[in-house]
Amino acid sequence: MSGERRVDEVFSALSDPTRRAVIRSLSEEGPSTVTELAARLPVTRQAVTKHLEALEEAGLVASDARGRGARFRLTPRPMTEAMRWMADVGGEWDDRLEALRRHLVRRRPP
Amino acid sequence: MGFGDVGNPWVAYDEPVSDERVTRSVVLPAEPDEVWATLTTPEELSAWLGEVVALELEPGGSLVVRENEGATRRGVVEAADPGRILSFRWRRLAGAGISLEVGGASRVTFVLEADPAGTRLTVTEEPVPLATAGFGA
Repeated sequence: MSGERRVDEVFSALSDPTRRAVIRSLSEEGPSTVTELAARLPVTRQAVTKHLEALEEAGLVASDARGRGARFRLTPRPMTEAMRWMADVGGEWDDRLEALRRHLVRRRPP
Repeated sequence: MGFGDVGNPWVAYDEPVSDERVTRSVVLPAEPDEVWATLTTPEELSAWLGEVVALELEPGGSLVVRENEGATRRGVVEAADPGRILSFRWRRLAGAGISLEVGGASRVTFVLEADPAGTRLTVTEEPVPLATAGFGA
């Protein structure tokens, strides 16, 4: 049961495109501080902190310390292929549906 | 189905087919018929999905969409109920020859429902096992 809840938490944590970007960045660049992540991503330090909290709660990232110097890393528990698939495919549909919405709005008579 | 075909068994579908499924639901500012057109006509699809190379709107009909970065989605239509439901199986192919990458097969289903603000469009995508993927032929 708790395993199931954990999976739900993981999916919900990964449903946000910025959080997926944080995961990607940690996986590409290795353990990073909030400041480093904020420099790489188009979001503020505050937003990075908030997203890291959600990812930490879902067990996807962990930090070695608290405070400004804390470095966050991906946990050894890797995302399963299924989770990765869901994160990728979910991201694709987010992008496509946004493009579809813009397309419909653009051609709508004023 | 011939060798080299996208449906070949050497393309192992190595992921467990479980309850993994992606669902997105949005309300679009257009009538269901208009949204249906954006899902089923090549000119409209090119505005948000990709360049449509083939699209036969009937069960068993083929679907080929070219995405950017040289990848192609190749699929088979399963159901097309105008203004209501569209579903197909598809998979992603990238590269060519020895570097051809073939993604796992999945089923995409669009459900359209009238909404006071226009149309609620719900899309789901879920993996389908290779045995039932039924590509090629």
